[in-house]
Amino acid sequence: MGADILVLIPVAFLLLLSLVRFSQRGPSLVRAVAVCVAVFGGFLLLRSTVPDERIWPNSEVARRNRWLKNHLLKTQDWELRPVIILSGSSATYYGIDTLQLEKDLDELGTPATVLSFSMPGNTHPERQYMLESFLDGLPSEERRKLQQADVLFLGEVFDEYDRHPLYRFSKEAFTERAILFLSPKIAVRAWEAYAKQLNPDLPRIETMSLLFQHVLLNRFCAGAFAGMRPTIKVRKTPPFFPLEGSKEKFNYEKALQSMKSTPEIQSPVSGIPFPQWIISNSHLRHTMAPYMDHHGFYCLPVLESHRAAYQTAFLASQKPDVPLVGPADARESEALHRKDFWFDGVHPTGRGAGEVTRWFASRLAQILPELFGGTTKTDSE
Amino acid sequence: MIFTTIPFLVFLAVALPLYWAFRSDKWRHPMLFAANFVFYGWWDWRFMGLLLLVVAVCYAGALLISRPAGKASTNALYAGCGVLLVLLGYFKYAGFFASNVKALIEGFGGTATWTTLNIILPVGISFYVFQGISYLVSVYRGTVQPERSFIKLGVYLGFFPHLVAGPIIHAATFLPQLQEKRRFDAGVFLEGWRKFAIGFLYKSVFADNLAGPVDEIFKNPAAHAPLSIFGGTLGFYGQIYFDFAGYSLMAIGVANMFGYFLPDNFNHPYRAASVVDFWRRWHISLSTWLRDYLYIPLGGSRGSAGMVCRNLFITMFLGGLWHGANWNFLLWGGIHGVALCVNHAWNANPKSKELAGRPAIWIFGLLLTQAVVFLCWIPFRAQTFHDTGLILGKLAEIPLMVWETTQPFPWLLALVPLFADTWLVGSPGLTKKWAIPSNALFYLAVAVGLLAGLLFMHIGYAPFIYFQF
Repeated sequence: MGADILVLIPVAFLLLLSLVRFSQRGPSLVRAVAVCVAVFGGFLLLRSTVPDERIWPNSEVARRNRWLKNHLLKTQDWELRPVIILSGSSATYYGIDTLQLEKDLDELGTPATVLSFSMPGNTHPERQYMLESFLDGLPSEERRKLQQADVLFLGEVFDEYDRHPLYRFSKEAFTERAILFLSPKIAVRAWEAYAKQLNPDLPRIETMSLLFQHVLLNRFCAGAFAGMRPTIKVRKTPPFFPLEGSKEKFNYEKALQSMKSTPEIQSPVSGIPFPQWIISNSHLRHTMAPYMDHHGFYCLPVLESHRAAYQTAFLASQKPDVPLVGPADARESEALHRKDFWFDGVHPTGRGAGEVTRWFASRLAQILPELFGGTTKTDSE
Repeated sequence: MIFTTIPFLVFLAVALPLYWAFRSDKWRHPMLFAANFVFYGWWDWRFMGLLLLVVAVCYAGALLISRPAGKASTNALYAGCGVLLVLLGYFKYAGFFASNVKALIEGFGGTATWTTLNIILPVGISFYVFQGISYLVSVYRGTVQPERSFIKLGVYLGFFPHLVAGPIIHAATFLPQLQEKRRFDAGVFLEGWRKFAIGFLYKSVFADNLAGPVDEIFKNPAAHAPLSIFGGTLGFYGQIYFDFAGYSLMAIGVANMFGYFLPDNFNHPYRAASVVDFWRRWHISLSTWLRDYLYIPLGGSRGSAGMVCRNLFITMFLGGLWHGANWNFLLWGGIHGVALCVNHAWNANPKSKELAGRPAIWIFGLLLTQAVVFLCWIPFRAQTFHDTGLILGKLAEIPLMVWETTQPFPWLLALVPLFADTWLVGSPGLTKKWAIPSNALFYLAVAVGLLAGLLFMHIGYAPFIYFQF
């Protein structure tokens, strides 16, 4: 029976709706609106007092954050080593094994703790939510340690920076992990982020419209409510879940061939990717400001020429002091050109994921000493 | 645009205040006309041209029909209806007939060189084409005057709340409403929201939450135990009702918000104790249309029992075909046609009048009717003829089966809403006796009803079943 018993609640409301009638005194639209606002507002306030994890303990974000927290706290003296925070798409989610990455970095003489907040589906608000929930869930002492530790925050470069917010909304709304919720705390933080870090290049009206889309549509509507039965499938996420096999329609040979072409990148794209992304990135920087020492970007090997060209253009547009990882050079890419390494043009699979992780570790090992030198912040203090 | 999605809510939030902000119909009608096309074009902008064509055909056809009576008027009727039926036939049935003819030729060892047509089915085409036909026939019969304003006719034929899944409205019901200026009435407006809230619960909570388990079972019936199959069929019995009745209620509710009234499309059909009664309660606008424009012109209940049976069978068979170009729908319509014949034959028997009113007979009639309806939903939902046979075969094993399922099934979800809606909400006596006359509770019920819908709605895409028809 389980959650099915909950059906009695909507059935009760159905009965109530079927039985109510207007009294002899005429109805008032103003009063009706006031009652609706009170009911919805009251519910939202009440709901916001309950932590999401209490309601969806097995949601993907809650499970992964639990794992990340345990991983961090169980790592001895983690605060003495650099912490690398990855914020990426499915390419990172399926392509980077964080445990192997730590091991490889250790072997290369640059030990670090890696926390990945990457999510399939290319959704900024969800990653933001996961990151904020993680930070909120850390004990205050650990949060303080994280603020003092050497933190490198790396965002993945991909070329789908929220071009169609409404489409993205519907994608999120229909995803099985639509669990976000606009709590007053998160809303205030978002507002602060936008107010303080608005990009002056963007017209105000556009900024307001994006704020509306981002906060209301993505944070509130998509995840405010859940289905009657938990729709979240338990996936083999922590610690690592590489894809298996290859996509039915993906043609490896064609993809490889296409890499020889050099598509043109529209000039505004390489400079300012997409307005929505700038807003999200501002929000992310605002959240991470107390923690991170460096904010950089990385791009993973791909088998799609337009993405590869975009990655190159994006990295080229960054200031010289921004830490960058990638793209893979011709020799490194060549080593990854094996049919069984790729699920499709973006996602490595099986052994491919292992190889990509190894490549990523080698590149990280080159920049970490430059960024943090031989000593950590804690040591110097 | 689907009623239960954000784009529709945004559309409504813009269209409603704009509509009521205009003081005169001079602006309201063009605004509604444009809103209809935006709503319909949201699926595919190319559909707008088709809708415009249907409005144009009806507009010109009605004006030609209304000229002094004579052969020209009849010809205009045939031409107008012919064009509409050709459009319907092309978009809905061409692929089906082409593939069947091809299969037939190949079955006899011949070779058919053409490939199967791949025509996009415009959403709700059957609804507005049937409405157009009813308009032309009504003008021909003289029951309505031809509408001389293209805009008003466009508002009627394309009225967005009911455009894609009905109810099918007779011109005589709707066109007079367009002649009278709509005045904002808080009571009608809030009643619209109440109906919308009920429809929202029906569709988003009851129907959509059932859709997943039902689809799982019908996708591969061979893999499921008889009890699971029974659960899936029971689930669909509830799902299709809540889905379609939910859409209809939301459509009626939205129309009320704009000050218009649409006829009821459902009246608790699972309370019906005879197949005749079922069709007076299920998809009322379609059964009324079929009665007025098909059954009665065929001869209706006049003539011998055999003729009545023939008329009923043809009507239901074509009713099945209306749902789609598929042998399963034809089987569904055919069985209902036979059941109606049997029902009429029983009604013609003097003994039936003696027995009418006895509780035992009523219960027997109820069980028999609902068993027929229940079984008829199997071909309606099954993917193939083969699946229909498979499911019926598995259901036949129920008396012998081990009481186990191959997958968990939400029995409470399948049974409780259906019971509550049919036997509590559907009981005129109970709803009258337990009515709660209170404005404050009315507002509260609408608010919590909508909130409950949002809280318990299924997350995922589940289109309205009747959009495909």
